[in-house]
Amino acid sequence: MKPAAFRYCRPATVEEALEALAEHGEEAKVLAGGQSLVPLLNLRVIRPGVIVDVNGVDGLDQVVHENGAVRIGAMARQRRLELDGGVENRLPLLHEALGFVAHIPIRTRGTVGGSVAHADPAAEIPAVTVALGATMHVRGQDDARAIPASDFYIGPFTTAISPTELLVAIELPALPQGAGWAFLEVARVHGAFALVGVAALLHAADDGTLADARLALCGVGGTPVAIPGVREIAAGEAPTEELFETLAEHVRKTIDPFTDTQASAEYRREVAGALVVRALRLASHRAGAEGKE
Amino acid sequence: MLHAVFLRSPYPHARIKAIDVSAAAAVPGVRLVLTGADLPPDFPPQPLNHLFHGQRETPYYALARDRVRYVGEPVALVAADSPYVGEDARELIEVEWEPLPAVASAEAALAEGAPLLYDDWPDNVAATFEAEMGDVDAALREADVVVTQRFDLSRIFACPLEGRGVLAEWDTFRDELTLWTSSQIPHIARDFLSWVLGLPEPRIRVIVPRVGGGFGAKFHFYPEEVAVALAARETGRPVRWVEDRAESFLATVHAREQVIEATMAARADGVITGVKAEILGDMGAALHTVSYGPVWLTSVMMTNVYVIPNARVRARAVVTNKTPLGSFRGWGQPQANFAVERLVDQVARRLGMDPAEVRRRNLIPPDRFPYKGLHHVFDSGRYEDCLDKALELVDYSGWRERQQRMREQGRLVGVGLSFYVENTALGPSRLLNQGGVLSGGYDIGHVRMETNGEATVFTGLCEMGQGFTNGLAQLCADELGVDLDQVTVVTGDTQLCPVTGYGTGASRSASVGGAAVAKAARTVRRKVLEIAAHMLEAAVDDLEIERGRISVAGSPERYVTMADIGRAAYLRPADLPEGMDPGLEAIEVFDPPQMAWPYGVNIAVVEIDPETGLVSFLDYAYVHDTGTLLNPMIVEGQIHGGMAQGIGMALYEQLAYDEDAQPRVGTFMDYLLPTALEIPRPRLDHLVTPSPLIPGGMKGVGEAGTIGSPAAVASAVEDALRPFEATVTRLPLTPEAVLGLIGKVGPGSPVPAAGGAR
Repeated sequence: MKPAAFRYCRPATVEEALEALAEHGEEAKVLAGGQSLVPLLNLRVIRPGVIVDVNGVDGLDQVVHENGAVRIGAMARQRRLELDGGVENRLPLLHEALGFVAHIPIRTRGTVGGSVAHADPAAEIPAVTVALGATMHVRGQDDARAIPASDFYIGPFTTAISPTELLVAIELPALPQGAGWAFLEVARVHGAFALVGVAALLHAADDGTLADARLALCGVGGTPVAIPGVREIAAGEAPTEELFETLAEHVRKTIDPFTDTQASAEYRREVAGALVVRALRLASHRAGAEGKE
Repeated sequence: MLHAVFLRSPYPHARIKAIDVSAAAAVPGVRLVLTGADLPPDFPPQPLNHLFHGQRETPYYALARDRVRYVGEPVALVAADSPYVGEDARELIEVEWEPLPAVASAEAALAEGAPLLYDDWPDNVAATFEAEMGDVDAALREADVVVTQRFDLSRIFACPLEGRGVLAEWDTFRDELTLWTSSQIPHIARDFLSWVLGLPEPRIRVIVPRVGGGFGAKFHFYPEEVAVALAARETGRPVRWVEDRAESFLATVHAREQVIEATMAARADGVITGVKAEILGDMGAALHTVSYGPVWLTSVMMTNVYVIPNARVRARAVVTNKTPLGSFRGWGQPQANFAVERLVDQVARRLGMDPAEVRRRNLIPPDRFPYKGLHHVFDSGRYEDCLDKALELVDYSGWRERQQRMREQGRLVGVGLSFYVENTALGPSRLLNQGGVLSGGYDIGHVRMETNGEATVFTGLCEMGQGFTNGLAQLCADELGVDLDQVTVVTGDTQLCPVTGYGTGASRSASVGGAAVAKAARTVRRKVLEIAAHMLEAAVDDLEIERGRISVAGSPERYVTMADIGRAAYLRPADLPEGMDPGLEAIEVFDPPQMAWPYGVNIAVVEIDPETGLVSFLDYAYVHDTGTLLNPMIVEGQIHGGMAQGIGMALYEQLAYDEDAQPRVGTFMDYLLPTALEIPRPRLDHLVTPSPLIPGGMKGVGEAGTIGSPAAVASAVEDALRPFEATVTRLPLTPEAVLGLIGKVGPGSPVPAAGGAR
């Protein structure tokens, strides 16, 4: 478990990093927290010619609270965000999901940007970005792009970032007042990848019916899956068990999960529905609780 | 120092037609590429320590010669200046393979027309063992209830977090080999190295530093130990190999995998009258160091702790194209326990009796010891007291009431129990030899008092985290009358330490090793007293030793210290009694007259999430009797760790293969070990019934925790699923398997061995 030889460069600025990426293109891989990349290197599953280590790039780890959004620098460590009270307040869904990401030592090195760019379909953070409708800020040498999460994840471990681009920040809209959220997952042991994970968001109208609802799942497809049609089913309805069950059935019909050594597609489909009901129940409860405050 | 890496077979079964190492050897920094073709034609296969009557030979070598029989079998060694260079060069070795059809399970191996692993055999059965007592057929005919069940125990392994490692230094001038290895059997390894390498035993020094976990997987003599030694000889330089995590899943022996078809007969009052079992052990590609020992042990443990007069068992060891099967804490006992205890639960269910009550009616009573069962003689025990204590500790009747209420609320809560007995203090030598074990069952203790009055204990046993060095130091300190910090324990060096008959396994360190050390310390004490008596001009019988000070009873001011004694023994022999030889040490042997049998009860209380199939623990009680406790903290640690591995077997771990015998496990993402977050903290209590066989009364405890915990968890899960009439017959109980038992997902799940039988 020793990697094949590679060239190593450690840029100090985004510009230098982009220069290296422009020079090496497909040959290069960006090293962030290393929690996925390094094992893949060690197993020689991937053999990049150049590693561009962005751990020394100044300012990539900033967390900025803007109008109605939080802009998280790609190199912000997961553990730091988990402990950040501002993030907990404004992005409670992300905060809750971070608790499921592996174990504390891994979150201490692992970055939000790394998880998003790695795009493991079973990972939690990508599902959160899809649920919240995040915007990925990507830079190339000559331009900058803002890619909506819905267009960002292309397949397993594949994103819209081109080989010469660098993910610099993820912008997540803050949860509006009165909204409810929940992140739940089933894993075989604590810290393992999710067999199924569910991110749920609910917005209640003044009359107690739902104004909006969103569901995104991990572990049930080739990418994090934003379930289409949830808003259409939920809007104007009261947040009842019946509605939650309807949405669960909708999710079971929508997803196309896979089978691996840990669980079958059938299990994932079945449990996805159960988790959706639980997540909606919890989100609804929280929306109500928020409303009363 | 050079770093070795191994090229391993990517095929479950193939012929090696040719190997071209020229490109690999040409890589700068590569010092040697060794293949099976480099071994002389008469180079011996890997020796075995267990040679059961009638077992077939399954020769395999340090490096595969012309055929591989499992994915991961070592094919070539590259020794290079760094492991990076070694791995680069490894990719350049060109092997011309001729793939052969493979068998992926014992049942497939037995099928008509199955591919043969060994061409000169008529089938794939490496060995068969049968045992019988009483008249099982009559018991079945006359029984009020007969239950029959098939059980599937998955392939798992010991998975020590510190993998294996070997460092060899061959002094080609003196022709002496020093081999550091992560092993539980330094003396056996030394002898086997000698036989394979043709170097006399005294010229080989095997050193085992402190080992980060063995759990039986290192009670094996591995091809890498020989290959690395050969590389050191060929290059004239020290060569190191450290098993990496990915290869450990394939290169370290696997364990447990069996199919058991068992039948139990009982009377209407719950008295069990007979048991029979057909055991199929999936040995992987070859019989390894301990042969099919674990499968054999499963078969002879099929009466567990019960007075069952009629029994018949047959064990068959079958070869398949998977990693060889070997030792893992518990050997075959967890499998036997699982089958027997599951059947007892089924008898209870059929009779409408409480499962604890059925067990109570069948336990061997205290006045029947020593009790001869199907094969072994059990030394002692107070089984019913142990059961009562466990039921009380967990509040069994209280849980039954709570369970009723929780069920009414729709919650799936189950209480499950199991009773186990553990084979420890493995011996005596004569019995082991007659059974086919090459080494004996004795242990040799060496205690030396040093010039400063401190004591050194030398033992051939290996410290791998179990803490017995502390236990041996305690025994020595107690016998000598010195403080614990006055005793140093030296382990695992064939040049310094006495031979241990068997090695560090079979839960024998404290009992057999401890008895030998205590015996040697007593001999040293006698001489200490003789010297002190001379110095104090007193009679030996009037002396007492306390905290390293030897004084005349009743006159504490008349004393000498251990330092005075040490000085006299070595530096001032003039102070010794007339005619006494200088020096102060003793070597004593202990060979147990029979094995000692600790026992215990696991009671698990679980809750199942009916929507996800996840199992969580609400309570866990563990009561056991391991005879005299040398150190309660160590004993509790052994129980906790063993229990964790048993729960891992019950719920999480599985070395899955596909139907072509390709492994599906390569990382800890696939092989799930439980963590502290998964394992309940048990309520733990002890009974102490000293073994009449062991001076000091200690029984072993090393494997106990693994034996009864899988059955208890399975029992609790089945109990929780009573509303669904589910029967738990296979492990691990993955969330998917549990939902399968509930009926929420189909049994046709493509996940290997996951869906539970209904």
